[in-house]
Amino acid sequence: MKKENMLRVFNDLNDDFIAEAAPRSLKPKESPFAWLNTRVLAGAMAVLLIALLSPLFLNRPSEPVQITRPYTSFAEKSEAEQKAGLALTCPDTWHDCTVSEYRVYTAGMLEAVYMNAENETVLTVRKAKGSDDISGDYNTYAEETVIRKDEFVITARGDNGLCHVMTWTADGYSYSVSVSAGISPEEADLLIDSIR
Amino acid sequence: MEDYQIIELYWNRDENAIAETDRKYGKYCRKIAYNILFDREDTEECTNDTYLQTWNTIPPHNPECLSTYVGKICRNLAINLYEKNTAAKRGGAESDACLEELENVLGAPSEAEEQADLHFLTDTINTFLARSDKQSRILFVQRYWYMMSVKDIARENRMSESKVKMSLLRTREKLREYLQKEGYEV
Repeated sequence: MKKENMLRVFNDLNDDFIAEAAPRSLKPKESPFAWLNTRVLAGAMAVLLIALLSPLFLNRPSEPVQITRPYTSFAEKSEAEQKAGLALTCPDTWHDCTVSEYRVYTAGMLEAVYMNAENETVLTVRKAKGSDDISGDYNTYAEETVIRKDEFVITARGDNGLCHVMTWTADGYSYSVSVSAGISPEEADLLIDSIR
Repeated sequence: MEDYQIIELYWNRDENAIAETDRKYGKYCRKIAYNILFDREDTEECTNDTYLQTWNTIPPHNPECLSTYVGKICRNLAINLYEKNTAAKRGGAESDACLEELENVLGAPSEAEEQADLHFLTDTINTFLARSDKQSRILFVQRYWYMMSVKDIARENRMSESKVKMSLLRTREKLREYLQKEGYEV
């Protein structure tokens, strides 16, 4: 096994094991008022719970509890594009999977999520202004391939000859495509041709 | 500042997020990087890149544990830099020593293709560690994830260096047996 891969094998160890083994000298010093923050937080949570549950006892109609998501979902691409302030061209279907929803993140990123019949995400396409890597994928992959197009260069990362994450920038926008099962570089090239 | 407050700064694209991350986890990241790179300049470069990658990945990520999140990013970047340095014939002392110890468990370094999918191998190692006793697991992770020296591990755990070495040797032997039973060629 290559030296670097021997080091990488351990990179994705379980978070609990890593936290458990953190040396005392490297642990951040807790604020002496941390317990106070925890108590204040616990108190705030108790008040919130009372506020949410009290309608049950006061016979008033209650609002459903909403869990805040980091993005807003849209069924229609045009609405998502309007919210995000950018236009996204991508296939309506891919490998018999359709776009199940469009998501707009607070940072102004637009994402198309493709799911299969089992409701599993098989493909995501993202677009945002700028040139940063917006894939959100910092996994370690054994292979990195460069696919050259006429106008831009794509970086494809993956394993065993398959590409899992493709990123590129063009015309002031950053793009990323993530394929859970991985695809060949040739298929990646064709897929990316359909994305703007 | 609590982790959830720092993460909120990232979500709000408040650049104080990076300053707060450095304040709370700067020493943590620098130690992880230095143990692999053994070079102060490279360590600083790696740490700064860690903050940049954290900024670029939160959102959409919403980590449950910020320390391990930045720690993994830092370690991965340090390995990438180690790879470049190795090509340029510069090495990191502690990481080189760790690799020598792991050769008998994971196989000698070679130019040939890897025998196993690294992700599956990591999963198998996680399962092995979950079944190990806590102390052995902590020493193992401190040595091969944090890349701490045997001396530092002994001091951290209030044990003798010989006891640390013996524990690591036994854990490596058990891991090797476990990997063989799981079908890996070692």
